[in-house]
Amino acid sequence: MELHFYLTISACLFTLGTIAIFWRNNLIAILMGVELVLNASGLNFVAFSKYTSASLHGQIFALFIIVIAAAEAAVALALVLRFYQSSSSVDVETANKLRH
Amino acid sequence: MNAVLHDICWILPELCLILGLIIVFVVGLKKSNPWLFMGIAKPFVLASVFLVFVKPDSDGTSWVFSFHLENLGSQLIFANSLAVDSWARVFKILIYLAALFPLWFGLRSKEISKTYHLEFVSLILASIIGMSFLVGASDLLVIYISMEMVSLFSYVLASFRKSNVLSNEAGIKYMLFGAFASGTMLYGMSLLFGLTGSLNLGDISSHLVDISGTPPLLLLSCVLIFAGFAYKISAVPLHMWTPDVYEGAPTPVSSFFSVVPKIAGFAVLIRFFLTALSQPLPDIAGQWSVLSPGIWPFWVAVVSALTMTVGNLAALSQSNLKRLLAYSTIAHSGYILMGFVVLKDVGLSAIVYYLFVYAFMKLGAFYVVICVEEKSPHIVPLNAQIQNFKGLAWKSPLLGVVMAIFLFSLIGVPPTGGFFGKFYLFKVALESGFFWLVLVALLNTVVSLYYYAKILKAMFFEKPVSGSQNSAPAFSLAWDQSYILVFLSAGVMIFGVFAEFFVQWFKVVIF
Repeated sequence: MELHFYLTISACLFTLGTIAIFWRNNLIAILMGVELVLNASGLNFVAFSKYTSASLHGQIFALFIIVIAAAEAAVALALVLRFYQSSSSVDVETANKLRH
Repeated sequence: MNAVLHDICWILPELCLILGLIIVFVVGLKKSNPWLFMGIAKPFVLASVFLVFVKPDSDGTSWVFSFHLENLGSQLIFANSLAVDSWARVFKILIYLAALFPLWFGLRSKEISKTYHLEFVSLILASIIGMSFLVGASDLLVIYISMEMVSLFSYVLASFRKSNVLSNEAGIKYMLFGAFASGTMLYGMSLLFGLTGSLNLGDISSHLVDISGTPPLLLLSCVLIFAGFAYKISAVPLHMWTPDVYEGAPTPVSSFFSVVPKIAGFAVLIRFFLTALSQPLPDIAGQWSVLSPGIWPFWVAVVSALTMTVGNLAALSQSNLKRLLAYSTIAHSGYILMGFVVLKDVGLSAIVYYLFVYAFMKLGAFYVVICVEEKSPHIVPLNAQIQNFKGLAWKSPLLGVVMAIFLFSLIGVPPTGGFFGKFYLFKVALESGFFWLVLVALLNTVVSLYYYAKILKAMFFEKPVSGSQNSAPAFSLAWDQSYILVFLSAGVMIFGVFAEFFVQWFKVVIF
């Protein structure tokens, strides 16, 4: 296995995540896209740390990404729940009341 | 271990805020009096402002106190990941002082329910703790963590009114944009780490010295990282969340968002670009030269021009004052970026001066909106409609006059602070040859005159809408409301009158 395999996978993950964020209407699906983007970066950090850097900084960064992604998911799901309770939908298209 | 203990002495302001947060929590278990939470939080924030001027002695046995920031020196702590220098210190002072006002605005607000006041105070305290780490962050990991810390609390603050559909929508939009922006920033950071093999901004810069030309991957990573910062300062193209979030969030929270995280965002953006992607010129003090993707100042200038144009043009058609102020926030972000692209210390001191004035005038304008909203019978965003400001100056002369001062300052009319802020920014951009940028900014100032004057006209020259609740005669303000309004407007004027003094004082804060 070489570095560029990991980089290709992480680039694919990043692209798929971005596509999910922009083209899915379901809030939960968008959050899954965000998770993909975060994990793509985590994979990058670990791969670079293994192949190019002498230190473990990249792998430590990946651990922090996992923890922060969990915190972000907790807050995001709580907000989605509030949104669902006030508008009975998790579709972003229903989030259109704030227009001038 | 000893090194860590020694480093902890350098983060006294943050420790003081953390202590305050814990005490507010513990008291909140038993009591639920908003004035009590305020009374606890405020001394701690003020004490943190004081502690910014304190540093441990070189041998770690005593403390040095000085109001002259240049005497305090600079230090990299926690394995070079956090910088405590004049740049971080001046932004900490500004953030703490600016955060006091939204805390106070929330006290009388109908939108912040008494039951949840503990959460309001502790969320704001927690988010300014994140910001005070953000302004000193000199390591990609610390930048990411403290940025997430600020964002996560802000999402909750935006949807603070639990059962209100607009507030929830604001929270959702803020969260979606924020998660996407931080994801792209993180991916950019991972690429930058791969290219340079280091997370430390100083080390990154010393690796980039050896790279010549513009490697596409490096450019991509810088663009992605800039996207994360652009979201924080609501620069084009990541500005779309701003009007929706400001409109849907409770107004005290909007006033917080429009000032405090913006300040922290500018601090970290400038530190990242000037320490990682530039290096100080060896022969001329206070100037930087760009490193490998050498074209970034030009593109930041383009973003600055687009940001002010989009903000001002979109503000023209707004009739809701919260939305209008949101677009004006975007426009001001564009102006402030002008001082950064010149890569000179005079530009940076102009930015710091502008941010101080900006905090005063923006908080003041939002507070007038809050005062008007509170007198309205229903809590809907419609209350910030411009109709409700018709004849305001005759119903409450104080509100009319201070709002006029804030608006004149936002336009940039002498002798308010806003004029000198713009003047210094334009001057440094002109001296560095950004003629087209100054031209765009001047045209934008003229455009912005229209929508600010619309508010002034409604307040001074139009009769209150008859039949509506707001046509009720004069309304009176509580003592603390008038006090805050007078204080903020006096601040705007003092910054204007003594502009030269303040700009000289801010000259020393450059890292």
